[in-house]
Amino acid sequence: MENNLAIQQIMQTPNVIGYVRCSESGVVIEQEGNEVDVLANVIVYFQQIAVLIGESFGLERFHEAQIQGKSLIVVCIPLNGEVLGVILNSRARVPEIVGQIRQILHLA
Amino acid sequence: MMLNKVFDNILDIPGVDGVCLFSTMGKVLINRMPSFMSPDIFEDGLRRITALYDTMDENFLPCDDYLLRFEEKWVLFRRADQVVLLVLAADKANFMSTRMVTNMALKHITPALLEELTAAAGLAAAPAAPVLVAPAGAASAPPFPVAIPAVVPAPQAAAPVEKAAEPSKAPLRMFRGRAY
Repeated sequence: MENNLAIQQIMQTPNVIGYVRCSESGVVIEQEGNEVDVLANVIVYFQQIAVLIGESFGLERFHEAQIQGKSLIVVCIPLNGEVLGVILNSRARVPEIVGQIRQILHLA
Repeated sequence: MMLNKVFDNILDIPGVDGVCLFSTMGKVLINRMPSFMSPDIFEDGLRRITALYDTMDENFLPCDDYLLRFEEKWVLFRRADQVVLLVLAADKANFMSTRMVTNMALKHITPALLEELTAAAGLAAAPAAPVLVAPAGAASAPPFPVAIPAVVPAPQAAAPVEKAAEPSKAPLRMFRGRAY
């Protein structure tokens, strides 16, 4: 419950236009904002393949991904067996927002 | 080659461990990854990156740049028209600097240079094919180097080389990573 409230705070962050939280099996736990339906379809696959790409290069413990499109940016963060995808608009300063998201979620 | 200097600039960024340029078909064109990491080792990675691009293009939005952060390292891959530039770096590497320098690298990749790189990659891969074919055909037909000089000396010997080069040119006819 506390986690849910914390995630909802993400929407208050400037330039965040939506977020989606999915379980490992792909079930959408919660979502809010624009463009999140499409992201919900791919975010779990994306996280799984990101882990595999890392393994190919001998890298372990995937903890964040940024997908840079022309009009938006997606930040993907694994979260206690779930996946959080946050959509930002192109004006967003990604490192600052990622820092804020990590603070909100009490991640290191 | 100018591109090698640009790649040197990427590797000069403190914390950057390696750079690799590969075609959207998964063929390594320039490999400047750490020496302990041979292309055979990360071949799976390139295949997965290509699959990731395909899936995201089809089911989400066409995105060219992906940054994957792991515990101590990050991997950045950036797609141009027919190639993907991959950078492997430590956490301490400056991401913005890397983006700037890789912008320059991607600007230097012209169609002519790409053709040259693909041809070079094709030639590098070429010696592997006869090794596989020769033992199978050895029983029924004479080995290639012995038979050809005996029948027709020069022109016949040149023709197979051109034929071998043709397949490597074929994948160049692409638009945004798709053959047409």
